[in-house]
Amino acid sequence: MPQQKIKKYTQIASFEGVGLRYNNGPEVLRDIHFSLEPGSIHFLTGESGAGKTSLLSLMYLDNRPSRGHVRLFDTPIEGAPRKQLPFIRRKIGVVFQDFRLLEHLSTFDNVALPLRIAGVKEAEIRRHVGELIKWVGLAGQINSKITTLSGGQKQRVAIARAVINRPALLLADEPTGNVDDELAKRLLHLFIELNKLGTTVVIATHSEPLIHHFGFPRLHLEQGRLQVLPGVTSPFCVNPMESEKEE
Amino acid sequence: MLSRKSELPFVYDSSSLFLPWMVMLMVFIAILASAGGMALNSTLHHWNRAISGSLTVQIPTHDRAGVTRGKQVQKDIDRTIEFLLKTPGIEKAEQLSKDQMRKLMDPWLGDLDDFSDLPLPELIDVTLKKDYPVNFEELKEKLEEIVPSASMDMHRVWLERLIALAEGIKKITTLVLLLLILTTSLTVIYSTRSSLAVHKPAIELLHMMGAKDSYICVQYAFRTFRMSLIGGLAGLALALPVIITISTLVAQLKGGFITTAQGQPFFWPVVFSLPFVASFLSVATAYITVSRHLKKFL
Repeated sequence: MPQQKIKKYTQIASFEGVGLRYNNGPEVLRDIHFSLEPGSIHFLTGESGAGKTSLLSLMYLDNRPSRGHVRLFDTPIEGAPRKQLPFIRRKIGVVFQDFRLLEHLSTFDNVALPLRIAGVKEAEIRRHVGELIKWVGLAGQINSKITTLSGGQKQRVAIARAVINRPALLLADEPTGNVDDELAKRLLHLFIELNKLGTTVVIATHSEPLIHHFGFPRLHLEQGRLQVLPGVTSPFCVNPMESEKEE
Repeated sequence: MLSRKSELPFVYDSSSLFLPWMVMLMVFIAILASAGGMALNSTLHHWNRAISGSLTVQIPTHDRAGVTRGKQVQKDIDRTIEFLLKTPGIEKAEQLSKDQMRKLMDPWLGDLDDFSDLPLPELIDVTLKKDYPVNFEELKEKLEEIVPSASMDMHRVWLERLIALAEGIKKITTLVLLLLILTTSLTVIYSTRSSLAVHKPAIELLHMMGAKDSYICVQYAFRTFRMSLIGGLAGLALALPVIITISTLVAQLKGGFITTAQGQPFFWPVVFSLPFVASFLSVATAYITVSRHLKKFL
């Protein structure tokens, strides 16, 4: 991965009294208060329809809150000029539930996409993308079209694309939904590695075994309201106490 | 430049495949309209020059029964020239020589050495003073009183009408070109909007990854440039044989009554630049369309 320096921020994300409704519908998120400290790692949990994807969409700037204040990387989003938003987005890596890969491009070009958008030189792109694809076990598929890959392989491409830029904030929406337990753990270890390097990580998941195995603190959504639950002591949990501070 | 890899899957974009065909048609019509406009311009210039400051008086060499009028012809010529030179506003009045007559008749009669057997009238070329108003109707009446056989050629009158018609056609040509620009722009807007709808998920993805608006606009600009240039060059390839054929046919008319546009100094640069002008117009339209669309995004 390119050795992009992660700046020091007071808070990576901060939500104060945030509400979200689509058009004139009911609020899907209500009175959300939480903040993500730099270098933290959280699971985002909740039943289907609880608002996990909506919360993530506010964090990767796909939606504007209907009320309340959102700050990302110490920048208040409502006051930020539109021209500044692409630079904020480039600090965020997202693994989408449905992967959102570009099917007409190869594995290599999909993973290289964030670097190309950021204007990284092609020689550097070749070096880093090749390494990462090898690491996620897709060296043999580097030039394959996405349509020829299995669900699990696509998921690994999506993860590689999200982390290639060494983002300051990584948001993963059900990143292990299509892979077996072993690979799921291996992918989570990749997130932990990134977290150790300074990336703040939020992983939305339904997987109870993973939640228990890794024991990270949880952002738990229930009927559009958020609760921050402490993590359990686990060798993988970098700083389980920090969520308690937030409470 | 044309092979730049696009992150947007334009290759599956069947909604835009008609763009090169539309641009081809537009460039074809634009080249023909420009060629027509420039030919008209050149012809008008020629006609304007022809009617400004000159008229012709005819003295028949034969009477109505076809019998030669003999020495009376020269007498009529002399009296006509004498009358004309006394008339205010007329600078010069000269009888056309045999050589000048031969040159004049060449487009109709070919290279005839001797056409004395033909009942052709003698012609007097009259040069008018510049900016001096002459009442042609009055002049004609007076001349016919003095020399009843003389007839003044009123080609000025019908040529003026023809010039008015040609000026009208020139305006229509300009209007056609403006309509072509409008149609090309609307076609590009429609094609780009369809493409934006087709590629919405991919565009949203690029946007979410931090692509600036210009990053997406440039991809559309390249796509539009490639397609418009292909269409424009095809339009040029189709128009060239048509222009050459028309020019050849016009050249056969001889006499220079209608002129072609090729002689105009800017004709070929204009023709060859039209595919590029159409491409740049399309690119600018596509860029603005995409840019305005993306402004709706957060």
